[in-house]
Amino acid sequence: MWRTAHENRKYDGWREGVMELIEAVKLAVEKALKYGASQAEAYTTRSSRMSIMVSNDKVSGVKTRVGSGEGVEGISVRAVFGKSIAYSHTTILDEANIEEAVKTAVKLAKIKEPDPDFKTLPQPRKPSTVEGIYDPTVENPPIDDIFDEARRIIGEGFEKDPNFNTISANFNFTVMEKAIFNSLGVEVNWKESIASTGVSILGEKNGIRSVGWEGEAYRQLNKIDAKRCLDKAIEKAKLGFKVAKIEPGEKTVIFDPDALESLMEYAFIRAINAYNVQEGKSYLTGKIGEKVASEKLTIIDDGTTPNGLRTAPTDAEGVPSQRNLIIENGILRGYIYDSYTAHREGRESTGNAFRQFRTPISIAPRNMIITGEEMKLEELISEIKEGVLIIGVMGAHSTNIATGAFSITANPSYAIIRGELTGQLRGCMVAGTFKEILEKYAAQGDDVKQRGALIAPSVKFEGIRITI
Amino acid sequence: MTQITDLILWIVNKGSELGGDYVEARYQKFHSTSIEIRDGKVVSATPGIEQGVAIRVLFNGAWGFSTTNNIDKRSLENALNIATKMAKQASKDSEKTTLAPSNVVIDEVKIPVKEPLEEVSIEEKIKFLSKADEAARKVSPNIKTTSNYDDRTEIKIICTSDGTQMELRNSWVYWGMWAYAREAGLIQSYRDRYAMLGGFEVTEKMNVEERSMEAAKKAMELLKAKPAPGGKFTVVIDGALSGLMAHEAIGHASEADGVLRGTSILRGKLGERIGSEHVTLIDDATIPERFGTDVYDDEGIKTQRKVIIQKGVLKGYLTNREAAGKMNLPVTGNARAQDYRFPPIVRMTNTFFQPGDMSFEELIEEINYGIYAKGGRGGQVSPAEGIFQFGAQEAYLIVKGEVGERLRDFSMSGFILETLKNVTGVAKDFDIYPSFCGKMGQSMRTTCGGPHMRIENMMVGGRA
Repeated sequence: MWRTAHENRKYDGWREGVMELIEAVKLAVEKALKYGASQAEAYTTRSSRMSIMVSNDKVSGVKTRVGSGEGVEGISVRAVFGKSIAYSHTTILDEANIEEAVKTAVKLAKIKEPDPDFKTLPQPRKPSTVEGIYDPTVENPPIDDIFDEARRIIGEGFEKDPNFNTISANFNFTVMEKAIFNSLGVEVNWKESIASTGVSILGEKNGIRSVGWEGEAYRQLNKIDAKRCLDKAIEKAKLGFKVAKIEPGEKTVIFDPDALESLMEYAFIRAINAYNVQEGKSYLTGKIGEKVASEKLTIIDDGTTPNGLRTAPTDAEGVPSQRNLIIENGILRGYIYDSYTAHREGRESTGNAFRQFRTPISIAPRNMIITGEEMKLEELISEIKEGVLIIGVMGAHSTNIATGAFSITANPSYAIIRGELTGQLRGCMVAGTFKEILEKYAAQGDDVKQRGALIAPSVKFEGIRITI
Repeated sequence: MTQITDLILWIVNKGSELGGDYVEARYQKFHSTSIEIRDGKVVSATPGIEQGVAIRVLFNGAWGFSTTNNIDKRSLENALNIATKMAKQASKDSEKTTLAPSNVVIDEVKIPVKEPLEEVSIEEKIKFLSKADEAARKVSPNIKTTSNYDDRTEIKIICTSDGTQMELRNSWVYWGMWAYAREAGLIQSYRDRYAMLGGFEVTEKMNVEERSMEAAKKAMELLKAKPAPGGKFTVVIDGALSGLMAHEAIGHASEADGVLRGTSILRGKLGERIGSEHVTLIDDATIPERFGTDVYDDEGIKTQRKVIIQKGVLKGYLTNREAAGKMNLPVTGNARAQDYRFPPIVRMTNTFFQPGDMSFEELIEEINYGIYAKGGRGGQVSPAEGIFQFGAQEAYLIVKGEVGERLRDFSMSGFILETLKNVTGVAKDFDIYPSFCGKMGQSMRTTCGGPHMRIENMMVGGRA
């Protein structure tokens, strides 16, 4: 989409004269053993991010222009002493500071209560072969051209409707390098990239305010398309200029991929987290082999999906990425594990360890793929007599994670009357439990998109209670 | 620290030489401790050290920003070059911006600390958290817990091309807990949290054992609650929820960066009535020990107490230097950044509704059929559209002026320009809670609070 601008190579200065990540993790583990750790592991990341935001406000004439370039790095050490584990981290990657972090972690492991459930750090296994996670052009995006592109997109947006007041466009380019090393022989490092863009429009017509937003993220720079985002944002903003009415009650509801991801993050993903399951903090505890969803629905979590935003050779503790069945035709087949929770059940990790260097290991999905009865998005909508299309969710984070009970405001959302989108709904609320939602799955569209961990199209559920 | 201050000054001067209309550099170094206990087991106790420098350059009305972890001349110069180049590329079609004037300040601030956090052993901190965790589990064998302790000691140096130069030392302690109650296949949860600025001595004032027990009891009680009804109701909310409403329904919309960009529904409403006479809203960054307090903001502006709404009339916005300059408003010292990885943006500090003079009984006595909701479970707002949402932890039906049956699992939603006009009563009590507020990917320590409030015609999203 853009030519490569060689002048931007200057941005790449972070990598000059700094410690190689693999060197840093090896050094940390070696020092941890020297200080008396029985096992040790180090994890390090170095990321560089460039982003631009351009926004024009027609009413006041204010133009906002922001460009930024950030380089952040850090190392986390996990020291084991017998059955005690402790972490420490630092952003200062030199020998003295790494040594200090290691000393702290080992000292802490020595005084911490042993954890009888801890068995061992992961044993070395061959990392998975994965495709499409790194695009070198994301390292040097042609910033000048991209600013021009953002200005052009905004200008084009204003031409499409005189009622648009504020339009903004943003672009982000992140490259991350990671290295993991442990005293049992795990040794892995890789680079990954993400390019993303988004356009948002705010307009007002006859006193009705409407927003339209669309964003997308890919591993490759040439896949993002701000024009495509603009077109979708325009469509949504225009649709919102009309206010539609709908009676409260049980309706057919479509969640678009953005809305679905927001809700699932709190209402489902935490429920398949093995730790929550083992501790009885999940409504899916003890339900393996049972029917928990519509038989049409299958959910897979896959750390190896080509081009997936969460694809990598291994997880954050060096366990090879793999494909895990979560729900198969409505039957619950599995949870997601890191090595600690897996060893508690005497099984293998599913490769779902997640960490940032600041935080201890937690469990997170990789690429969570929703499959089922697929049809064209237009057909999905056109079959509905009276229903709601939800493209944004407010308050998903107030979900009761143990029960999956949620009460959200569907905003923005649109009414579907006799198969047509007729306008925005104001103050539409949806309450229920995710358990019910899973059972009410009906079908899904063909507009597949990755949002966070979720790879899904718009999904239709039948008989969802709405209040308005 | 003088050596680092010299480096920071050096890079700011370099930035001016490269043509920056305004250059700001902010060094931060912090030591943190993070502890998590689940059901009595210490699952993690993690100390960490971070440092970095944020550089911001204004050129012809456009901003360039950059950050680096490496504190040496070459790395800083590289970061400055990126910020400058970004600003220049961004500025092709923008116009020169004059930031609101600020006093040139040279200062050193250190918040009062009796027991420095770095001198307290991690064992001591674990013991503090364990006691609270245990208190909750003593309530019933059916209680499970997740308890968190976080603390931070920080040095911040801010230098600007206007001549401001300051060194700020701060520290804080945060405690939070989730209590889970299980009985006969049912499961309910309740959370509480508290946080204060200061050294480890503030833990004495945080009453975490009492709070933990209370959270566990509430979780148990919720097992007996029924799903709430949905629809429009007269609701009475407690201080935790009125605080959430202060923050979500109006606080965010009063942030002037959104007003300036056109993404707040409150644009053009200064001096207008937007709420009933019961509504007075304050943002005050100067209250000692409160989690949202700072002496200076991240642009080096002295913070203050601001009246946002007085008796229903919109009196002011929260501003940074850019928005204040462009809109000809006072600078309120609300430019805050999560840390060196982020540029300062307009944020709330300690935000709350002022109490009134009614008793709780007076608030509910004339309600024929309504809902009494307590405890915050987070909220969200879209200031552009003027719609907000917040979750409640527990609730009761109000029937004929009496508090009755227990309810659960619901949230409330409203429109900024309608809901505040529907506030028909404010109690004389007051409560305030800490929270980490998220905006544009930055998490900021804040508090929000208020008294019990009565609101007519509130949308309740229940499933019964």
